[in-house]
Amino acid sequence: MSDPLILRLAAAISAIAPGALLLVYFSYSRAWRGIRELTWIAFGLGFTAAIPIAGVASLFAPNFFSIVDLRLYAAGVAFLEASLPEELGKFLVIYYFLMRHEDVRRPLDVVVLSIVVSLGFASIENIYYVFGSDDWSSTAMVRAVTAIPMHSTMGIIMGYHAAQYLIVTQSKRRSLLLMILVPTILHGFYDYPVFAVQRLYEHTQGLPDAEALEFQIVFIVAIIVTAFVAAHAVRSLAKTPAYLVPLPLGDTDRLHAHTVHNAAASRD
Amino acid sequence: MSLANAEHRAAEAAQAPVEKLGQETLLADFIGRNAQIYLAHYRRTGSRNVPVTAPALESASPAISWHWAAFALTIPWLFYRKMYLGGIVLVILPVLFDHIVPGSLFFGSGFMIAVCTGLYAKSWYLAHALGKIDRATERYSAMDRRLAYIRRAGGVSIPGAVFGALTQGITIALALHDLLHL
Repeated sequence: MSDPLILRLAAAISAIAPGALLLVYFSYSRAWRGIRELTWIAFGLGFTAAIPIAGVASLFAPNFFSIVDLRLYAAGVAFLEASLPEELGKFLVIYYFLMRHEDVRRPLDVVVLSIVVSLGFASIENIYYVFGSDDWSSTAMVRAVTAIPMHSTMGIIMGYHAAQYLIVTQSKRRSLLLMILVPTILHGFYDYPVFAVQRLYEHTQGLPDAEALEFQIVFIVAIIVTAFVAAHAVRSLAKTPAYLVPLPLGDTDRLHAHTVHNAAASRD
Repeated sequence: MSLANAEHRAAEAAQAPVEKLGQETLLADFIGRNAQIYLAHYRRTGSRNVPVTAPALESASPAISWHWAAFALTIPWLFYRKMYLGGIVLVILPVLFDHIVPGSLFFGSGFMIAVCTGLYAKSWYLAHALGKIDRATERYSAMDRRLAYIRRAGGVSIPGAVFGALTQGITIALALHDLLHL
């Protein structure tokens, strides 16, 4: 994109706007007043996480462009180059920075934060695509109604399993595994037909009817399954009171001993 | 200070009720590792509305104090000390600015950010810590819960340091790559 400064600014704003609007909704909603500051941090962490993910993925990802077979190429790019690093990045941010954060008081808070992390990630991805496109305004518009809802839905699913992890006492590892696995698979199936069609257009300047139908079916099935999984998560979150029960802050007896020890140390 | 004296103070503190623990103790508890560095700065400069009784306050120095780690490892240090918002802002702003005005990250903004962080790191961290202590006081009347909140909010984060180091390293590498291909 080699447009003047004002167009670059307009492109940047159009790329960030959809995610930012949803962020403003979450941070100013009364229901999430307790984590208002944290929603901004979560958005920023999602936004920032794209930088190390892109760097590490570019170092370790195999070169899929040399693969001749269309389906193998699309599956490789969709699952290993796009969905796995992206969902892994979001997972690490949620697990290491947000689930342990002192302002997270209920398991349900983690669900909202997970959505916001996804929105942050989607926003920087939008910047990348919008700046890389010749027709940036159309790209921004199309992505606002496709990529942003997709990332938000993955955020709901990941957040649901994160909340499960916080409330269950047994099979915590299973919840962690589902937290990364389910969004990665669904995201991969969403991306697979997109990358396949993109390559077909690049190579044949058109879309053969048989392939078009196959990839359309995969895309529609991926969206239906994702919507079904997300709806199940939302229903379960709405029905289960345990997601609203305050989380413990920590082992207070041990903390007391630690603080008294620090009191002595700071007086020395 | 002699060992016997230190033991005596530790025993004295152990008998003190938690409610009587002062601001400095809470700060030490929040900071965790290397607390002495920040407590020394706190004693020298004081902070906000907290009364500082140390005699050194009479010759108080300005809030500027050089911090090598914060200068050299700006973003990893901020994430290591759990100042996520500061870390995010200092990553995003120069990157966005570099997108709009290519080359700006290397022609000033990155170095300026590192110098400012090196100068104000201790004050920023103390303000962050005192803010968290204030929040704990507002939210929890029971001292044990207050302490639990402070302890959870403070300390250091190794994943944060790794995340910050990767982010800073890759940002610099990408900006350098763009600069060389301008």
